[in-house]
Parts: sequence; structure tokens; C-alpha cells
Amino acid sequence: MSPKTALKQLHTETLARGQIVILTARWILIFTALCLTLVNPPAMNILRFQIGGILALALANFYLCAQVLLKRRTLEIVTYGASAADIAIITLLLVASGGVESGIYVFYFPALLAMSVAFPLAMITLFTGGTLFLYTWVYVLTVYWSHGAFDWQALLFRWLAFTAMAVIGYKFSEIERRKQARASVAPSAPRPAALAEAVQSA
Amino acid sequence: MKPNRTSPEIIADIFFGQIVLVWARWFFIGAAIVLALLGTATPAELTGMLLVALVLMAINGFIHARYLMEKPANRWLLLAASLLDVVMILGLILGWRGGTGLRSQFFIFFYPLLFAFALVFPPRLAVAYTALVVGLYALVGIALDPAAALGLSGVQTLGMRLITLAAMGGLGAYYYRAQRAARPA
Repeated sequence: MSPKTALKQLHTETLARGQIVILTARWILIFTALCLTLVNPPAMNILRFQIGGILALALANFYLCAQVLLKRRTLEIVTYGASAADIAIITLLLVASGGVESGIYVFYFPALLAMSVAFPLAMITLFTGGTLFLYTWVYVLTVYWSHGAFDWQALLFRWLAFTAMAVIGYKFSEIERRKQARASVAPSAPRPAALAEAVQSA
Repeated sequence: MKPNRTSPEIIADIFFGQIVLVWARWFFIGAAIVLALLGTATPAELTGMLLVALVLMAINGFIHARYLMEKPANRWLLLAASLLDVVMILGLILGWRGGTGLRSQFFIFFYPLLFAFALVFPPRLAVAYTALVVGLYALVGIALDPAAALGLSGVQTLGMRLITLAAMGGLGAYYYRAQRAARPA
């Protein structure tokens, strides 16, 4: 197998394993958002919009789950599109529920977690950059419209926490990819001395 | 056979995977520096906060350097450092004058820490750590301002945070298991 084909296969396998994490993260987003919207419903127009968005996401996720259950390969472009829709819907819900004052931004965390373990570096960078960009815009615009004070500190904290999710997920996937590559190329390769020592002393 | 905490597989996971905990802590240190520079009002406060950041940098730098030298920290040191992270974040949530309890913004640093922990340690330990963090955060949020936390909007805010925090541990542990299942036997 050529290195290019092997790399492509590795990406496909990573995406397939990460796909389950993406789907689970999306169900968590759907059920939590639905419950919390109904516990404390906003004005009727906003409520209609929020419920519509959440149900659309649920339908799309059900379709993707069915593909996995039928063991059909989901097209990469569909996975990327669904993840972009997650970010877009969280952002729309955020705007609808007050922007900077809303706590809905915490839903970006499971979405970023799922992408960070499933996608290649270029897509992780694109999605994380896009999330930071969208969130910053929502933040700036709502502060501008509400004539509130701009809290640089809060914004920087959120940038750091969002970026941390992407970096951690990517780093872990990279370690796992390296381990799997090493195991398939040379299964009996010697362990680092410190690891061998730790295993022995345990 | 189920791997126990002394199995070579678990030891290797902690050995190689601990770098994600180190990275999660670097981001928290970054936040501590931002807080020292933007969130303090007097030179004494700035110095105090910077000292905390420097101590954390020294600890994390030590663990990171050992990892680079292929002599990573053992599980007990990592567990102690992870508990210290929780104590520090809870301390900021409890006491920082920018807003305490549910009004504090520092809870967001639990997200990367929970995620990283769940990727490094076996699921049972990850679930215990997640439950500890979620429980302590709920306790602090309710104890500091029960009227606000138990009102309709407080329940919504707290519920949203607790569910997403629990999801970090759950999804991380799930991915940990998926990765191990995919390894060649």
C-alpha cells in the first residue's frame, strides 16, 4: 500500500470512529437544548425558532445514525456539513437567546470535542477558527447593540477554552495514530526504557 | 480479560497520553496570566496572581520536560496535579471578586481538563473525576447563591453547564474505549 493510500485509510478510520462521538455529542446537544428551552421558554417567536432548529438537527442526526447502524459509509462532506450545521445552529440559538448574556455558548464545547477527535488537522483548524470568529462577532455585535461594556477578559477566556478543546483532541488523536502505525509496522518494537521500567515495577 | 490499573496497556496509555493533560493545563495557565494582566486592580493583586501562574508554570513545565525526555510522570503525580487543577479553579469560582458561584466565568476551564483526563485515565476513574467536578461545581453554585441557582433561569443555567461538563467526561471516556477496541490485538 502506498503511503498516500495508507494515510487516506487512516483518516477514514479515524473519521469513522469519531463519527460515533460526533453523533452522541449531537444527541446531547439536542436533548439538553430541548429540555432547557421547555423548562424556561422564551417569547413565542423565539421559542418557535429554537424548537424548529433543534428538531431539524434531530432529524439530520437520526439520518446519520441510521447510516452508521446500516454500516454504510457516510460521505466525508456530509459529516463536515453536519458539523458546520451544529456550529451554525448553536450560534443562531445563542443570538436568539440574547448573545453575550446567554449561557448557550457552552454547547460549543461538546461540538468542538467531537470534531477534534474525528477530523484531520486542517478541518479542526477551520472549524475551531470558524467557531472563534462567529462567537467573537456575536459577542461584539450584542455588546454594541446593548451599549454594554466590552469584557476582553471573558472573551479571551472563551477563546482559550475553545482552542484548548481542539488542541487536546488533536494531540490525542495524533498519539493514537502514531501508536497504531507503530503497532502495524513493527508490533514487537521495543518500548521506551522508562515505560518498560514502569510496567515492570507495576 | 479486562485491563486493570497495573496492566501494561493502561500504563502505556498514561505514559503516552499524559501530554494532553499538560496541554490542558497550559491553557489554564494562559488564562491565569490573562487574569493577572486584565483582571487585577492593584500591583499587589497582580503580583499575587502572577506568582500563582508562575508556580503552575513551574509544575507543568517540569511534567512537560519529563515527558519530552521520555520519563513521564506516574499516575499518582498526574492524579495529584489534576486534583490541584480542580482546587485552583474552584478557588477562583469561590473567591475571585469578578463574580462568584454561577456568575463566575472560570468554570469553562473545567471543560478541557475533564476532556483531557477522560482521554488519559481508564473510564472508571474518568467517571469518578467527572462526578467529583460536576458535584463540587453544583454544590458551590447552589451554596453561594441558593436563591439565584434554584430560580428558573438559575436551574436552566446550572443544568446546561452540568450536562455539558458531564458530557466531556462521558464522551472522552467513550472515545478512549473506542480507540482501545480499534487497536490490533
